[in-house]
Amino acid sequence: MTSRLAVGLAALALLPLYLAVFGRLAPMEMLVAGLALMPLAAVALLSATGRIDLAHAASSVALAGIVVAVAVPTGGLQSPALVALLLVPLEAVLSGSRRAILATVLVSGAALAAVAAVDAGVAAPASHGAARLAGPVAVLLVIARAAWIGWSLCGQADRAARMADGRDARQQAVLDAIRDVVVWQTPNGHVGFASAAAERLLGATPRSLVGRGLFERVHVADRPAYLNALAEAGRRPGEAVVEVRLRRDGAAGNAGAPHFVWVEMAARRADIPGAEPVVVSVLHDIGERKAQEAAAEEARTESARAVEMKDRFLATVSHELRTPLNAIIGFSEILGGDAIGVVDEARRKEYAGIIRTSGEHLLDIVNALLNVSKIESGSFDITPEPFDMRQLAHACCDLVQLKADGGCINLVRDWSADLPEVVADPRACRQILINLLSNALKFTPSGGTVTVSLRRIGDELVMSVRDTGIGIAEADLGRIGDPFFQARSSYDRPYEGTGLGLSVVRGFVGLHRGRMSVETAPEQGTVVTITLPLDCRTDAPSLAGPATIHAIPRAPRAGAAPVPLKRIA
Amino acid sequence: MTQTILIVEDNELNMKLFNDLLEAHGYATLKTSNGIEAIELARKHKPNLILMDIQLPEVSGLEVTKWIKEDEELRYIPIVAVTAFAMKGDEERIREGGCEAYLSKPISVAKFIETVRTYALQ
Repeated sequence: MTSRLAVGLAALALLPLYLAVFGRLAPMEMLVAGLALMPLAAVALLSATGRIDLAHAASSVALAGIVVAVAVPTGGLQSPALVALLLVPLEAVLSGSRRAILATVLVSGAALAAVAAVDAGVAAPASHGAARLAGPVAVLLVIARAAWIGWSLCGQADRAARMADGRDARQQAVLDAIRDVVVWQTPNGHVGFASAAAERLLGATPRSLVGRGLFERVHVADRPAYLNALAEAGRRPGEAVVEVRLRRDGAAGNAGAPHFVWVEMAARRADIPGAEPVVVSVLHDIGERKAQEAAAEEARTESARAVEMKDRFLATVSHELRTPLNAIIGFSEILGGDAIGVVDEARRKEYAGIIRTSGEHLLDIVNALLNVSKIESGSFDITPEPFDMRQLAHACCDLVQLKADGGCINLVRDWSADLPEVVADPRACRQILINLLSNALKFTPSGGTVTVSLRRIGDELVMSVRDTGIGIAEADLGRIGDPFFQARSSYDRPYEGTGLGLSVVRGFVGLHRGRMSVETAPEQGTVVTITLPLDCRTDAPSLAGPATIHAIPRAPRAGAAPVPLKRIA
Repeated sequence: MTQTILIVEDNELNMKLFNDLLEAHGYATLKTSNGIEAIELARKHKPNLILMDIQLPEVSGLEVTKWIKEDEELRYIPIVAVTAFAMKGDEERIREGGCEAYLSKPISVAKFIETVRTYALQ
């Protein structure tokens, strides 16, 4: 093929020169030139269709045509050019395909016949008939002989291959019955044979794996390991095992990305006297095992996360309970014993007050824990009843007003007079507002502003608490409202609190079939917006889980110092 | 001479408890809930002992301890951690952080006073 391609290219290159010297082409010369260019067309055909047999046939026809075109004017059947016809089947012999040999024999026979026919039409047959026929007959005989040799060579090669593959009918049946793919290949991955299970494992015909077919299916990342295993198997006796991904054809692979299956390849050298080194490998589908391994890994990660969560919870709860307990136990000890001697009446009252405050704080923590636990387990029930949300909001603001004043924070109450009555659980709504207000106040530096606003939009009540505080980093935004979540869980936790506040809010909002969004950026404050139906009775709220928090990170203000970790409790 | 104790504690009720206990036992006290301020107070007053809460706003007590122990001028001042971090491993970690002693909340009044007596510089 290559040689004729060179001829074609040479013809193409010489054509201008020829034209320059002789001025024009005679019809026959044009034909020869055209035929000489045909291998180029064959190459184009090959690259377009990918069918080497077609390209080969086109090329053979072209060569035969050239010979005929040259032979006819140079003596017909007596032309020495006819010998060139031998090249046609000879090339086919080299290709090793019996079909090709047969085709080329027919092509050169037809060429010979064509020359004979032209000859018969042009020259009157004379007494030299027998002598005239001697040349072409000899050519015919040589062609036949060459074809025969080629034919039997192919047969021998086939037989040799079969013997090497160990493919007699029984062995073939055994191989085909194995659910794993058995592959016969060289230590550098050139496949000579693959068993029928290839269809099941890879959705590909065994024949398509021959040569580089199998290697090209190996995932690029696994190719070094694959070749390594084969080379190792080829080098020494014993088994080399490797896990690789192979591309699989078929339905799953159609959606864009190629589909790969996990396969374990066990490769072993087959020692056959007098033969090239060969590796027999068995490809076993391990997709299920790999999936199980992945699932187990995921479960491990999940359980590690749960353990970490539990540890964090215990540490947080322990810390939060111990803080008020310290005051309770310490002051009780003072009152009951002689730790500081006689305590005067005024102090006694003050200490009793501190003990009570600390006890109430402790109770709040315990209640929050219970609420979260109930909400999480789905056993919390709300009791919706009609009430005036403005009154409730006023009460909540009054409750934290002292704290706001103490921290020099401006508390703004913003609601219109025409707000209708809502039907919801007042206890839950009160807790929602108090928790949001406490967070806002806790995370707002002095001089800042906290705004509570109530609006009616359609059939919904929109409550929002806006602060000018430290905000929440985007990285933490996804986890706020998770029970006990604290971005800083350890000794450098900058604010006290159980991390249950937003979690409780989230649970209550969910029970009311409401929505919740948090809009924030570090150092730019936070807006928590709760949207509740005006009448929460219309649904079956006890079936609802905690509300999803719609997190809206704001773009950080230019020049604002990044605050890597912030938490909300 | 009256010994001075610097109390670093962000919970005002616990601050009052420690303050009243120490005053009743004849100590003078300095009080702050802020770690940065604690260093300034230590530098200014050279207290005989520092009682250090670990969870503090802005800068943790461990961080403040580290700064004090790295400061040539202040490192001699003994630091007693008084903290609600009382899980397994907390004491070790806090001692490794440079604190001379560790008390977990809730405190025992007797042990608290005894520890202060033991560690406060004469």
